[in-house]
Amino acid sequence: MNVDIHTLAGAYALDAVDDLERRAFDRHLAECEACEIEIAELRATLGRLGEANSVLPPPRLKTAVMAEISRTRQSGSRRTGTGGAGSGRMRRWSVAAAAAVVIAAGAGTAGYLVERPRAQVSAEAQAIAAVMRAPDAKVYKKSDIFGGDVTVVASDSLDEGVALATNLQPLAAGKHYHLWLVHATATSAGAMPAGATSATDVVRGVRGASAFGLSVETSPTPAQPTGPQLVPFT
Amino acid sequence: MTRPIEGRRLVPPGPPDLGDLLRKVARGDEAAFSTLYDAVSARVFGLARRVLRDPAQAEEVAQEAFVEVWRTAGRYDPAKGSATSWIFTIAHRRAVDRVRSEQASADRVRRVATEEVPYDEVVEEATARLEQQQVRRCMQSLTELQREAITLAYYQGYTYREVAELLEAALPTIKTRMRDGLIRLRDCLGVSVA
Repeated sequence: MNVDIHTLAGAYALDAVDDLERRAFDRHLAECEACEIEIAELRATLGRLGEANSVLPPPRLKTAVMAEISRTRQSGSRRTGTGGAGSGRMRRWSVAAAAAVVIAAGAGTAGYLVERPRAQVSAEAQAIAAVMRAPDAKVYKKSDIFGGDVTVVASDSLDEGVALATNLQPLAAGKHYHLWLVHATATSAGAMPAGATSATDVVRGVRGASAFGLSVETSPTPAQPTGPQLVPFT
Repeated sequence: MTRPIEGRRLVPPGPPDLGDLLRKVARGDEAAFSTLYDAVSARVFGLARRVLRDPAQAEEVAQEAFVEVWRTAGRYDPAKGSATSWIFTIAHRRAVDRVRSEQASADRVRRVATEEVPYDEVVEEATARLEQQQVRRCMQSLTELQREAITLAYYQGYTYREVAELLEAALPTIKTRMRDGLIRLRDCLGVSVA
């Protein structure tokens, strides 16, 4: 074993080396089985330190991760032809499930993800991931909107946002939650399905908007919101 | 009748076999990935949060790490350690890369003494607390130099050269203390891979 380089084992396991040293140590590991075991053990030890620091992430992290992996190719993929077209469809639907998505195509027309062709579903998942990753994305949160929490991630550069509503109070039959974007006036951003108490919504045209809003409506195409509750973009 | 405790799933006392899940993930199984996420997300996010201090950045880094886990799951080799350890290595590396790219080191030096994520922010869960106590006890068994060197590198993303500068110690000393400190910690925690 190369004694000189091996003294770096601790620093290497801690990621406390620079790129050159990391590459040198990687080469060393390839030819030293004992060292490989040592590194595995030191990393497992550090894993135990990590376990002692558990913090629950916000639920939106899982939504974002699931949306992104559904459109991320795996490298060195061992995928075989076990699923074919059928499993492809399942993959797309699980994106829909993960995002629990309600999407409006434009003002006044509401379309739900589950009714959309596959290509569009995938496009929505990509839109969600793109907004989440945008460098200028801003996050606005408000609690106690109809009893639930609403978070809006908006990117001016993309002129798009993603709104996540969770734990809204259940509504009486015949009513639904309607989503709005407020500029000078409120514009419909779509309707949530009857009975839905959470949603992830891609909102277009967020640039210059002052707020995102939710209202309870009976008409599927209301002209104006009825008693809206707002998440201000400030 | 017992009711499941909210959040318990996230740090299960008898976790699902993560290695098995990773193998399914490598075949493109999103449901397995979802289960894997639930099993390790609190630990991955907690680690990112501890290193980055900033919850928003911790979220971004945790997301990057999970996407890398998805992308490279086929490369996981059980002979080289547990699935948790593999995932942690990815997450830690991402967190450290972010810290180094985003902050001038002078800025970080000022932050060293002042910021500490309080322990009461961690998940309130019996097994996690027991684990914490054991980890803290073992950390106490290290010499001060070993403990500081490991903490500065692992939780704050300093390279060993920076650590040597911060602690005003010679480079070979710091390299050695990192290694023998980790070995002592390994023995105290009873970690073995074989």
